[in-house]
Amino acid sequence: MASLSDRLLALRGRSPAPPPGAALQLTVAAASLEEVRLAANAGADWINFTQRSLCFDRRLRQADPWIHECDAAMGIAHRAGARIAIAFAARYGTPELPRVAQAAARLADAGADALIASDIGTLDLIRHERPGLALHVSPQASATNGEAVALYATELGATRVAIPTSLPLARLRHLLASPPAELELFGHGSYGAMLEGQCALSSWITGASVGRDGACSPARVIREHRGPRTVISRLNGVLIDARPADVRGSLPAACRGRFRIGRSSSYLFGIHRPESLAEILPSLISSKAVAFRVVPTGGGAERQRRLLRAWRAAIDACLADPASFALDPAWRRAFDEDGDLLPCSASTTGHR
Amino acid sequence: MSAADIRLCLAPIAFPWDRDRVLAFYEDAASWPVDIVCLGETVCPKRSPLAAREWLDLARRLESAGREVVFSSPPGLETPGELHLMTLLADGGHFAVEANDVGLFPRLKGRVPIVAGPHLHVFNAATLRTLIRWGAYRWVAPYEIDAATLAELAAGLPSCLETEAFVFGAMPLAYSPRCFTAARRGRTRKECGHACLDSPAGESVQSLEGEDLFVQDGKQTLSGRPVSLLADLDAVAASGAGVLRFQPIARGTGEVLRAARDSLDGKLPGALAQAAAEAVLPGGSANGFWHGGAGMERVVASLWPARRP
Repeated sequence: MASLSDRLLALRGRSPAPPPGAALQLTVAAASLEEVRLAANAGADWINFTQRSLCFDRRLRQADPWIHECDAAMGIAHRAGARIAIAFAARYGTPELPRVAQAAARLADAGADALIASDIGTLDLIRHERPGLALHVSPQASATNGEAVALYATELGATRVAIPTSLPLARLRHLLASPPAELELFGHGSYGAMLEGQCALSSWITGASVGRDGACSPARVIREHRGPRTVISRLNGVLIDARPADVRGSLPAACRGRFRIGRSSSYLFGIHRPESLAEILPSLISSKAVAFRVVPTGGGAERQRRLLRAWRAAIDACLADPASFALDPAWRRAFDEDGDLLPCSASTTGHR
Repeated sequence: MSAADIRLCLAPIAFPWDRDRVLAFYEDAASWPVDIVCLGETVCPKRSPLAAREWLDLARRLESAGREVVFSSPPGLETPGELHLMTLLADGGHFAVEANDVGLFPRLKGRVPIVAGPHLHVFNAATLRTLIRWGAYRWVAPYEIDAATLAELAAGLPSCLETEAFVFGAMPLAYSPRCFTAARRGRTRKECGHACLDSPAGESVQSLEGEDLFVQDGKQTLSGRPVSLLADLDAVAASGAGVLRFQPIARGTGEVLRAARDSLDGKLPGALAQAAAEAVLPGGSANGFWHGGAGMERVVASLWPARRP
């Protein structure tokens, strides 16, 4: 007899999540219970859950709300038949490691399907704390070549390695030729311009970086002044954008700023337009065990729902019949709709 | 370790200097008080000023002049060829390799002396233990490390792992698989026409208010203001760094190295060493990271001394 979650899934008209290792999976990044719910309902195979305290506060006491939030997220994911990976997405200091190990053990006991980390020491620690628990390497680990992927797999026991967001497509194909572990590719979302785990632009201006603090360009140092005609954004006092009030801005982050070289000014690091790899799905179906990470760029539950459902539909269509796969115009609208929240159409030479 | 035992290291040249300039620079370096020289193109494999054979010839010359030579890798290596080049430069384990990409460890481990590079961004002892297991004999602290964190990490280290810390020069802040210099000219990375070579000092990136923020150079973004910890060298040494790292600058690298050596040997007060650095850095310098703040800040050391172990 089918389990309850299988029957619920059947009611929603989609097949259960493919078995582990099956090709082409949908991974959705979520940073709140609401986003976990959206991802689960849209049929994500994996949900990558980033809980604030694990990356930012790091006090991680056993009575803290982080435990309840992770438990709730795991419940939502599992009831929908999705698997959930919980992120330790920072470079922790030595004094924080015992608490990280405790938290990892607690999450494994509570049913986390995998844990995510980028730091070599953190990966090693989790592996020793919970041998056998699936371990995912985050894009911040900068695995840009096959030998790095192999190292994470063999030396640190990683079962899945996420490839940095901004790696060009030609290089992806290189990696996909013979992946030594499951690969997770960036499928859709807003780009980081730099190799994620190594960027210190934010800490140069603000003292806070993704690697050390779990967040770059933190909200507490952002000031936005809205005048009748212009909007001005400052990061720790440094002017990073000035634009007409009727033009939408992007996130006020160091790499998203408008800067000047010589006499011309531009969004130097460009690429604020979310891109989708959906178009090339068929060429990836033959690759072994590939997951796509979709990172909704915000803009309301309804848009996120449409975006995630479009991705689910595209992957299912591709799995069912790769030979005649074509992007449905409605899916493309959902991808683009997520994109039009961000202002800059200036895309640099990158992924393509 | 006393300050006089501290060794000085020249970081690889971060900018796209041409072949003659690179060779002339290292010829000058023979007369500078520098103990370790890092060689290699660390930004883009397409713009290396020297061929592998020439790098090796240069390395042998520096070695016979009594310098320890290390070949530094770029971060984010992409092709097997880029990884293989580092094996080639190691020359059968004769020269050390500074790995800034974890993908290098399997091929170098046990065959080549390995320095764990600054772009591995090590911030805890568990990572250092793993890197020792993978064959590292020295690690370079991340450029954004602060005094307290460096002291805490260096204090727990076994003697087989040396600590190196960045103290001077334009600080590489970020690398991208994309080339922004080519993109600004509407070119692809593949057909870049070596656009970066037009700007051997990179291009200065300012805020719309004219504040120097970054220096853009191809796939690399550096700090818009050079870093100088020349006033704090004793404190950096006391934090457990046995090797201090200096980034080559356009003019005056030798003067800065001499001031640093004199300061460590007790012949020049820190304030005067810093003055020597400022003399070759007309735009001023920053030291914010060392004092636990934003990198671009200049903290007046006498008002806010670095925490010592």
